Amino acid sequence: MNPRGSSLSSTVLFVAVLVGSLIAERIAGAGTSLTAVMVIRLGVLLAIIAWGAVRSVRVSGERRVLWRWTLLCYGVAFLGLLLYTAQSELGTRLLGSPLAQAAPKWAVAFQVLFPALIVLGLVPLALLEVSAAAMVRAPVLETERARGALFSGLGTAFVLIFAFSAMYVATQLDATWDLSYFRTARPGESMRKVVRGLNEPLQVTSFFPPANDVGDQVEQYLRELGQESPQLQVERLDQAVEPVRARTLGVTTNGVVVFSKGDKREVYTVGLELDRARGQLQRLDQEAQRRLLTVARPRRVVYFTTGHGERSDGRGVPGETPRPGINQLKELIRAQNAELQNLGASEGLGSEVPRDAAVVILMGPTKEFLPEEVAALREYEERGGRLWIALDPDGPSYDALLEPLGLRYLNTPLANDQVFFRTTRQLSDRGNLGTATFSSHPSASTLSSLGTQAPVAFLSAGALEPRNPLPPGLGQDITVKSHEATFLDKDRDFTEDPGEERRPWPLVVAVEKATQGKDVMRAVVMADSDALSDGVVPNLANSYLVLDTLRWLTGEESISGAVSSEEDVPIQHTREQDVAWFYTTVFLGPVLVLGVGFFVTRRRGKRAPRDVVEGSAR
Amino acid sequence: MKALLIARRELAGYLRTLSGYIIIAVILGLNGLFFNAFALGKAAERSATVLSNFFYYSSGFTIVASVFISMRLLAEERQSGTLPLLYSSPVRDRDIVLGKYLAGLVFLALYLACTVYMPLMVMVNGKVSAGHIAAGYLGLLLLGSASLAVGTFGSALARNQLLAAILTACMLVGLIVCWLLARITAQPLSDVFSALSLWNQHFPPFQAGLVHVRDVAYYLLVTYVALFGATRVLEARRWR
Repeated sequence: MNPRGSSLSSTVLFVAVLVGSLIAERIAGAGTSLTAVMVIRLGVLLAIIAWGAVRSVRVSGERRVLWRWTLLCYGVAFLGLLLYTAQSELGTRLLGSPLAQAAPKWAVAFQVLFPALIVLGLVPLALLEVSAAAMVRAPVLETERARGALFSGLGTAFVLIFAFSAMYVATQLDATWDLSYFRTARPGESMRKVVRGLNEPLQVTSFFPPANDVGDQVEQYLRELGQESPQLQVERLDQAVEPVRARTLGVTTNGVVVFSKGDKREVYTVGLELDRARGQLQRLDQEAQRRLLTVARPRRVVYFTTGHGERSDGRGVPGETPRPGINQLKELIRAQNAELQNLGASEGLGSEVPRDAAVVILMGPTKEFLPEEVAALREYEERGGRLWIALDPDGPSYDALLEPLGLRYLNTPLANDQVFFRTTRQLSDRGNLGTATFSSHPSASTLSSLGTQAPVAFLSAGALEPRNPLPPGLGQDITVKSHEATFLDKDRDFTEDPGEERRPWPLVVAVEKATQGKDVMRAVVMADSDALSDGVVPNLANSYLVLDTLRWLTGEESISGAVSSEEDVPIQHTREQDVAWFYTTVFLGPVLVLGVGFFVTRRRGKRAPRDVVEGSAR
Repeated sequence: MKALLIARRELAGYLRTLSGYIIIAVILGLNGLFFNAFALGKAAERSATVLSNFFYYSSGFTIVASVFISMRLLAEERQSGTLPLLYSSPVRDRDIVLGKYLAGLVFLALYLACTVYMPLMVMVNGKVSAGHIAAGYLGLLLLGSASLAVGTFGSALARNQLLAAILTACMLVGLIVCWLLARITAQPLSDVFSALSLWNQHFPPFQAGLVHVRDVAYYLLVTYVALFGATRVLEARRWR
């Protein structure tokens, strides 16, 4: 076939002008230059189409048919471009006002049609030229082949248009399903105990409109709780229907739960939309317990000693990185209906511990107490006081304070090279002890019930040692011990050396002693204050260690127990678990797949016909 | 359904030799390595974060697996000279494409099924819903389906497997980086590029346990368009 009369060169020019001018438009930006680009583009494209029409007249036979189809594609693409131009600056100048204002419906129609027409013009054109190029040396031009290419291109263009249209519709009519984790907390063991222990009526009123999802979830929780004691009176109201009753409880809107006893009131705002109330519903048990305790129980005063470099001081040693604070611990204690106060020399610690002290906490002091302060604390113990002492290996040994409790503190840090929490993946991680060895003592009752599900984290702990013999009348219980592979890291190199004994070291000790008065002296001594610091307390086991300790010290061990929470928690993994996870995921899985593959392929080999095998051998 | 017949034979080709299992094992091992190193992380992460990270890294491996699975689908037939035999058999071009693609999809689904134990491990230790895992896997399967369809199209275009892999990778990278183009272009082009983005725009919701109709539609449409394109490429022998 004679290549003369081919439309390829004009097609290439047509597409180049079309695409090039669209890019030039972006560069031109706006104004006269943009209008100039558009005018030139339209002019050049019209010239190409006119030139094509002239060529199609000059050629004959199949070539003319091919030219006709080509011109049709040019025309469709050009029409698309005209619709695009109508909405542009040039269109505005020609029409006198923007098309979107003059004829908004047409503007939308043009916006949809212009890309569709350009695609409908260019895709078949491309395939048509490919087909024609394949026949360039053929003696006869086969229009059937070209027609096939044209229809194939049209089909492809229509599929592309359909895909974009369908995608647009799907985006506009989008529906969403949220399948992420969500569950409303159910009443926990601790909350049930609190309710069972009620000796006076307590009202819980929830305000929700009827048939509200959040209201239904809250109602289910409260109904379950109400079954624990007749003293708990549960009621659901609609604030819009009962505005007077709502106002008496201080409520002005739906979506809240009110815990009230007499004139005491505590409000918990949950919300009305399930999507937004997810977090509140997941924490419902702990939040409800916090408010119930505030309403039902007397407020206690908890004192934190200050002035000895305690964590609560907030005054770091100059030139050293400040130690993590204890804000989260304080928040946790406040949630148990406790008032927190400081107790230092200026608050009278040198003379006497205040009479209203429910518990006195010594949180990681780094300096020795004055003899007068020690004497005041001893006197507090003697009158049935409650002490909570958390120490650090870098601090003093506090013999004067610990001797009456029958304890000695070893200022040597502990380390473990088998079970520890990985935080930095350095050797120093071995100081991050994890343990699940608990006694059945009430100050660790929840932990012992959870067992290995809740390992307590101790970061750089020292060790406690019971004195022998114990002071008369003193009862001692080692409530938390370290893992058996823990060693006393005397040279602080995090590796076991000769003379560094491995054994389960006491980490928390509970002490009890009958006194002259009616109260029993209680004390809890911890070998590490980091276990109670910010960032560590949120660990499930550490928070239970705090709660159980506090409840035992304040004589409320009867309400100890798990608080139900459906909040997502950080996954704590010890080195042992890390190793197990690593080998399972990196080796065991792939090896199993290979094993199955080997078994299947080998079995097939065995099942192959013997004669074929022999034949192949021959 | 002749497409199913082709799919079965093609799948048997994957599973009767050790090479298919080796591909799954290698990618599974790498996925496990990334799961340990990055998804679980150094510090304690929340279950939802670990799961989201797992799906994030798995999506990358799914795309890579799709390229490896799809590169042989049609290019191998062309390379070994067996494509004319397929053409001469009484099956339509669309059955050939659909059969080959379905085989690849089943093989990809097998690989994804092999990874299920990783999120289940998270489920044991943390708070994860089965729905979140299902949503994540639906996303992976749809992403894999779209990538595999693009790969089938690439395989139909290419003369050999290596070229098919390179072509597919280029097309997928092109679709993935659409979000970058969306950033630098003005309206309405930025919307178009944003909607075309294979990963950034449409996969993250699945990671978080959200199933959007628009995302499902997008992956199904990409699959459909790519398979349609592959069919057209095979049909092109009649007019090229």
